[in-house]
Amino acid sequence: MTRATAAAAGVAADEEVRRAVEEKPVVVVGRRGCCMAQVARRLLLGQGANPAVLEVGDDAADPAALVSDKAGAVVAFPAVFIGGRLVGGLDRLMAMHIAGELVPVLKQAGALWL
Amino acid sequence: MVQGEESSWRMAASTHHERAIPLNQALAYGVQAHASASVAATPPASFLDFQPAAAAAAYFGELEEALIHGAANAAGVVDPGMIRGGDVHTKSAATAGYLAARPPTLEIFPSWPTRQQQQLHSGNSQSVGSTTDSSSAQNTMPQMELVSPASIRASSEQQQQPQPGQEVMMVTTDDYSYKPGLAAASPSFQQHQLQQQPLHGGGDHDKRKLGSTRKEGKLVDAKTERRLAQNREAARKSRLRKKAYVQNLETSRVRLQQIEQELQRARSQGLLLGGCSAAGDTSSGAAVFDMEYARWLDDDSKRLTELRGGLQAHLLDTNLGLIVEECMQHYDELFQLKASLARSDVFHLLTGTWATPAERCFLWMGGFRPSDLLKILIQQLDPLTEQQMLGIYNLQQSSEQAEEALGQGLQQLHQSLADTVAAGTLNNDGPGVPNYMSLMAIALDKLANLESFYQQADNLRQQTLHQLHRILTTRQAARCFLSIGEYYRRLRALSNLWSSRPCESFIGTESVSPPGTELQTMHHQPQQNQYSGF
Repeated sequence: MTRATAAAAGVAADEEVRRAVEEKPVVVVGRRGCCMAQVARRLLLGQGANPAVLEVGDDAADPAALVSDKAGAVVAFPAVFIGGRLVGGLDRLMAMHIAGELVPVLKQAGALWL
Repeated sequence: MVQGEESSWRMAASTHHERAIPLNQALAYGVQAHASASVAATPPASFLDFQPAAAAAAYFGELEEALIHGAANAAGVVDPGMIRGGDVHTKSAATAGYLAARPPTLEIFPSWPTRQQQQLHSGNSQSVGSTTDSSSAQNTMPQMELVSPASIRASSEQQQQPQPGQEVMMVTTDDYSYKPGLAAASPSFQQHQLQQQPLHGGGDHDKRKLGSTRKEGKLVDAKTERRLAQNREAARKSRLRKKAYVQNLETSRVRLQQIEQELQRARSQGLLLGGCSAAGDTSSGAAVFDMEYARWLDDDSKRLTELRGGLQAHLLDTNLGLIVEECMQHYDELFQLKASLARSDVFHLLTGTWATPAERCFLWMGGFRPSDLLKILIQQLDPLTEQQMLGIYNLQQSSEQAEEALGQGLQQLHQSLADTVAAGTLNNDGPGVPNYMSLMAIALDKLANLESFYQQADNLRQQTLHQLHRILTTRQAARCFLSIGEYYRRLRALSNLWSSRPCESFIGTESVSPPGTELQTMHHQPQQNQYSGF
């Protein structure tokens, strides 16, 4: 998606997403109208992080393709990026959270305000 | 036929003073009906007005009522509906008279076939020949029998012993009240003598009398021999009847079990759930899931037994650990089952049709709420090290947060869905609403999100269990899985008890009882009817 068409559709273009992932410690990328992105956001908010939420269109590139590492991994939307790295989908986020791994990772990425 | 009956009655009345007491007299005497075998009056004509040709089953029911109400009808009110044949009701009245004297459990079956038996054998013994004037009565009596249902059978078996099925119909009190020569393989003339006396109590003195009037010269021997033979016969009869009865009970019990199982299966598939489910018929995926889930439950109980055994036997951690691993895998299997159904029929999972009512109370997003389960388990898992306590506490907090996030997301979805469905004006229906189809399409999309929510909730549950497994030692984990299994087993047992609890209110409201509880109504109705007479 080009920036122009994305802007017209009201969603973020691939490039926008890539930039956000690099710049922001926590990014949640979800499809338009997807409620699960909001769930991810709430969860992260609860931990003290402030995630940026971006909506992409239906024909957006696979999240894995947006970052260099973990290329080829199939990840469903919503996709969570922490510290510029793809963490995974919502279920991965949940698993990390339950296992107690989420907070350390967030801290490491400087996403938490302590 | 009526004539024949009348004549036979009259003849019986004239020749045998120990004859069947007429129905009204018997009723008038109440419990003493049988005691004094007084001279019988001619039975009232009303006796003979009805054809004893009713269907055996309906007849049986009427007779049971007669047995129960017999004692109550001491005033002598004769219910015409109860009169189908002279024999039968005489017997029933007199038998009812025995109710006070005999243990209630024996008065289970009506007595009239007994009389048929006697007539049957009177038919048999005709060849023996009796020189007394009772023979003519005998000749007419079998005719009377031919018109009644049992005798239709009996007549075809004139030369054989009565079948056990027939015997089941006979009152056992007959054996005790008087020792009739029933089903004699070799009808003796003594027996056929007794067939002239269908009903009387304290039989011995009657037989003695009979012996004295009938047979001169062979009195003592005949009497003793006869009595012995009768005793033997009676005992044998009793045994056969008991056997038949028990067999009947057994088959009924098995049948009842089968029906209950079928019902349980149907219920678990939601077929009887107060009508049909909102989505219509149970989908095939749901039906398959229900079967698999039932199998999973069977496996679950086996695992619990293994766990319990392993803990009690104080197995080594390595061995117990294997059992615990298997339990963990067992739960993973269930999550797998649910996940595959969620793709096709998430509503079956979300509405909890697969679960029992008590489990459904606690349903959160189609399953257990992790933080609730942890609260229960924490109490069961003592003692824990400090580190473990901390770990469990953190786990509880994390799951609460995740549940909160999911819950809020679901709330948002509900709101959004409601807004979509209510879009535009609600005063018009389908075609009248502009963009109706697009409205529906959007709503469909949103509804599909429910699947994602369910998947995430199940994922949360699975992760919680795995984390528990990581925190706890082998023994603690074993106790943990055992606790979880037992907790849900109890909830299921609670549901069972709930659905089979007696509910008197059904008697008054049986016409409006909901379909799902129909089985309860049918189940408890007969109980009430039994006691209504007392």
